[in-house]
Parts: sequence; structure tokens; C-alpha cells
Amino acid sequence: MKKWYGPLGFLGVGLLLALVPWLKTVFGFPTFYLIFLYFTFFWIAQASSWNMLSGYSGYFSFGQGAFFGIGVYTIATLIDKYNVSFLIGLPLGGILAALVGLGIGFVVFRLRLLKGELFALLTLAVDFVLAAVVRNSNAIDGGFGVRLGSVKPPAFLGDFTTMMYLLGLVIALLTVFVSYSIYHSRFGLGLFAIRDDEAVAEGLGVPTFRFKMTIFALSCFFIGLSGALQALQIGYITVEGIFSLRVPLFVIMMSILGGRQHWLGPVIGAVIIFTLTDTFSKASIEYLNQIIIGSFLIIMTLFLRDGIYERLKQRLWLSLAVLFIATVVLMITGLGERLISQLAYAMLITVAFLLIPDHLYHKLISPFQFLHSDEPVGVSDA
Amino acid sequence: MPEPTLTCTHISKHFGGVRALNGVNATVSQGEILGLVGPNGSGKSTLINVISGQHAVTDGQVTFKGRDITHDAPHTVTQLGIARTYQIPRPFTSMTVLRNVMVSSTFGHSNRGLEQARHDAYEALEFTGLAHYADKPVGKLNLHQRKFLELARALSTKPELLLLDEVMAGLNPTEVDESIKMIRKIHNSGVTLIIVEHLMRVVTSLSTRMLVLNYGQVIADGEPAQVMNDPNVVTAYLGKDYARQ
Repeated sequence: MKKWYGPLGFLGVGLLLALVPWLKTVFGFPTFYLIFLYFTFFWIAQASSWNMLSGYSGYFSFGQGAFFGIGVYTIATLIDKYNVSFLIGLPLGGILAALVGLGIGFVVFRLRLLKGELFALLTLAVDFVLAAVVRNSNAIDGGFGVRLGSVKPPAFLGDFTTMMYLLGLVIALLTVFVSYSIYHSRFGLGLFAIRDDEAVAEGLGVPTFRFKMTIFALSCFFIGLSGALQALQIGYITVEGIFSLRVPLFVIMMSILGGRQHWLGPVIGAVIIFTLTDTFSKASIEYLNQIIIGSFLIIMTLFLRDGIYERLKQRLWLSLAVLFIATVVLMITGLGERLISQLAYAMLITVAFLLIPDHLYHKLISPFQFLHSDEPVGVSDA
Repeated sequence: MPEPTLTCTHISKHFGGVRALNGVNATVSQGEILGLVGPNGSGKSTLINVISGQHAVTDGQVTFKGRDITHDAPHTVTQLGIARTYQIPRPFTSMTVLRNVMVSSTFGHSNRGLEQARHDAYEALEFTGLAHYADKPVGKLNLHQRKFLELARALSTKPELLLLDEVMAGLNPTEVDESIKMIRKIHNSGVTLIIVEHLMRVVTSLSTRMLVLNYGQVIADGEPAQVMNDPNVVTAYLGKDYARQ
């Protein structure tokens, strides 16, 4: 693969998506779609940054909320207490999260015992400790929450919704691009080796301590950066809301469902899970939302162990065809009411298609073998 | 006598109250095959772990080519030119055979790009006869092939000194013969070797020198034939009665 191939692809996708606000003014579709897309970007950035640490290096973190919270409270404090521009607050949120990550990493990674479930518990503890500090510190929150006044966007970024959309897009793209670059680099190879067997990786020459510190800091930076932007979206910030387990649980779920072995996994997971939760919570079946998402998670972990991406890779064109046909049918028949719900149902149908076990799938497509004769069929029990 | 490549001076390693190694002195010179033998639990693997940096010593010093490597991290030791294999193969299970070797060819020597590393990894696979498994997942390899994969990974770091921890254990006679050939081939390519081995037939025929450990101490060091007739060694393996005869 050519070196410029990937960056160019990201640039292309970025430019296309950057046109959406302009299309909105031309075709006049509701602002709601921009907000929906912003949240999708937010979850893509969060899940991808979780995955570059936990998926790649195998250090399973429950501490997403802590670094998310650092980003949120950094920008909130800077705006609320010191009247600093949010454009300075955004990168500072990321940098502070990265610095805290480095501090924790320095202690944790020195002690070789803190692996696996102990690492997960320790990162969770960081979340609780930080929540307690923020709640009891009047300089930051003090337990009453912080209300961010309306942030005035600079002229070149348009109105508030457009600005959030564009900044969310940039941060998500940047995060996924970094995740993609790591995946294809020697750094990534070293991380995968650490995930499989850290002692052996070290023995074969991988500087494990340095690599773990670097990926922890990078992951925290993007969590914090994306968190800082999210603070502007939330507006009214409370300790309970920010340091809750919602963010860590969602990013874990998204990455596992999408697939932790590949940079695209968390992106796919984030898009599907967020679209589904958005649909179910709006379709006045809020009380069913968690049950549905929970059952979905169980089915997926049972039948798609390596995540959606691994299966999708093998059935790419047919899956896209299923997604497309399902969307079109739903739109024509008007089932599902809103466009986003129709997309959500179409995604569910596609996932159901991916859930078909391999041997059944090969039986199903065997009459259509002439369509792709150059591909050998994996199973033949004739 | 030439300056030894590797010198272990008065190495002690205690695990709590257990003295796995107790004042071990050992040297290896360039071009040697040092056979490291001893009954179970005599400290052979511990010594390998100490040299490769996996275990911190309780006391003593390890120098390699005149440099003190006692407190270096394992990855530094590897990059300096000491590679090792594991008794029970420990491949990276999520990767293909080639990617497994790429990890060591990328990081084990000097900083190398992925393309160069892929090339080197493939070379190491060809050397060990695994080239046609390059794109297979590791799960497809049998024990013998996994042991050779360990060798390929170690060799792709371009070591000057290679520590082989029981390469033959669990192999059938044909595979043992192949392994012996492989070790000779590696030695002929200019690598100095320390081999830990239980099969006496193998170790006495391969080694240029032997070092016998018992209860964490060196009880004999010299030519294979001479070492095998040493009363201390016979006692350690067979008991006092045999030694008297």
C-alpha cells in the first residue's frame, strides 16, 4: 500500500463531511442532524482513544471517565473561573489529561503486578478519587456544578451547532487517524506484541515501558481533548454526570462490539451503538433501551467474538448491499418514521446478516458463487 | 586465552528463602557452544533468565563484551546481541508466523523500518525452514515448528550470543536430529551458544564445553568427556553409590 493512500483517504472523508453544514443551508434539513452527527463524532473519538490503549496493548482500562472528566473540568474551570477562551481550553484539556496519564502510568507500569483485572480496577479507582477531589474542591466544582455561559463561536466557524459539528469532526478524524497510523506502524506492532505476551515482547527487544507510557499518554490526550469539547455541548456540568460510569461502559461496549483488533472496530461500534441508543431513547421506549442494548451486547459477544469488523471484512460487499437495500426499503415504506431510526433498523438488519454463522452463510451464497468466482469458499461439505 | 564474550561473576539469585543461584561464575568465549546441564531445579533456567535480564540478580555481575549488563532491561540486552528462546514456546497467538518474527526483527537489533524488518523476518523463516508457513496463523504450527519459530524469532535479532532453553524437550527422535542439525547450522553462521538440555547424548555431542550446576552452584566446568566422568557430576545425577565405582 502506498504511503499517501491513507492520509489522502482521511483528508477526503474529512472534506466531504465538512461540507455537511453547507449542504444544510442549501437544502435546509433540520439542525437536529448536525447535533446527531456531532455526538457520533464524540463517541467515535472516545471509543477510538480507548481502543488505542486497551485494544492495542491489552491494558483494559475502566478509567475513561477520569480522563474525560479532566478534559471537561479543565475547560470548564478555565472558562468559568479564569475567562480563558475555549480555543485555548480545548488543547489544554487534552494535555492535562495526558500529563495525569503519564503520572499514573509511571507508577502503574513500573509495578509489573498491575496487569489485567488489577489494572482495570486501578483505573476505575482513579475515576472515583478524581470525582471526590473535584466535588470537594471549590476551585473546580465544589459540589454545585458548573454552568458554562453560552460560548461565542469565532466568525469562521459559523453558529454554535456548526462550530461543534466541525470541531467534533476534526477531533474524531484526528483520533481515528492517529489510531490508524499506529495500527500500521512499528509502534503498533510492538503494542500488539505487548498484548499477546508482554514478557516475550520485552525479551525480543520491544521497549515495553516506553511504549506503554506513550500509548497511555496519547490515549488520555484524545479522551481529554474530546471531553473538553463535550463540556461545551453539555453546558451544565456536574460531578455525578461527568465521572459516572456511562462513558467508560459505552466506549468499552462500542470497542468490543466493533472489534478491538483493528482501528475501524471502535468506529463501527460507536456509530452502531450511538445510533441505536438514540433511536430507542427517542422512540418513547426509553425504559426498553437498556434492555435492548444489553441483550444486543450478549448476543454479539456470544456470536461475534472478534467484533463486527472481523466478520464485515469477509462479507464486505454483501453487507453493504444489505445495509443499502434495508435503508432504501425502510425509507420508501416509511417504517421507522425518522431517517436516523431507519438507519438504526437497517444497521440492525445488517448486523443480523453478519450474525449468520459461517457454515450457514456459505450454504446460502453457494448458488450465487458465479458472482465472485475468484474467491475460494472456506467451507465445502459436499 | 581470548577475552570471554560473556562473563558471569559471583551471580546469586534468591527467591525468598530459596537460593536458586549461589555464587555462580561462568564465562563463554566467542565461537563456543556451552552446554549448561544439571538436575531439575539446579538453576539452569534461572541463570538464563538472569543473563537475558528477565530476573534482577540478588548479587553479582554480568558483563557482555566488556559492558556491564547486570541491570539492563531485557530489551536492551537483546539489542546488544543476546537472544533467547523459551522452553515452552510462547508465540504471539493473534499474529501470523511472519508477524511473530517481524516483532523481533523490528525491535531486536537496531531501529529498523517495517519493510526491512519484513525482509529480515522472511530470511529467518527461510533459515529455519518455516518460510511456507509465513502467512499462516501460529495455531497451525505443531510443537516442533513452534520451537523453530522461537529460533527464528531469536535469530532475527541477529544475536552474537544465543541462549537456548531446552529446544529438544518433548520432541520425537527425528525432530531431535533436525534440531541438532539446526543448532550446528546456527553455530556455523558464527553465533556463540549456551544450550540448556536434558538429553545428555545431545548435549555432550554438541557442546565444546560444559558447565554443570547443582543446587545453584557450579560443580564442574570443562571438556564434555572430562565433565561427564567427574565424580561430583555422577553423584549429582545418580547418587553416591555410582560415583564410587
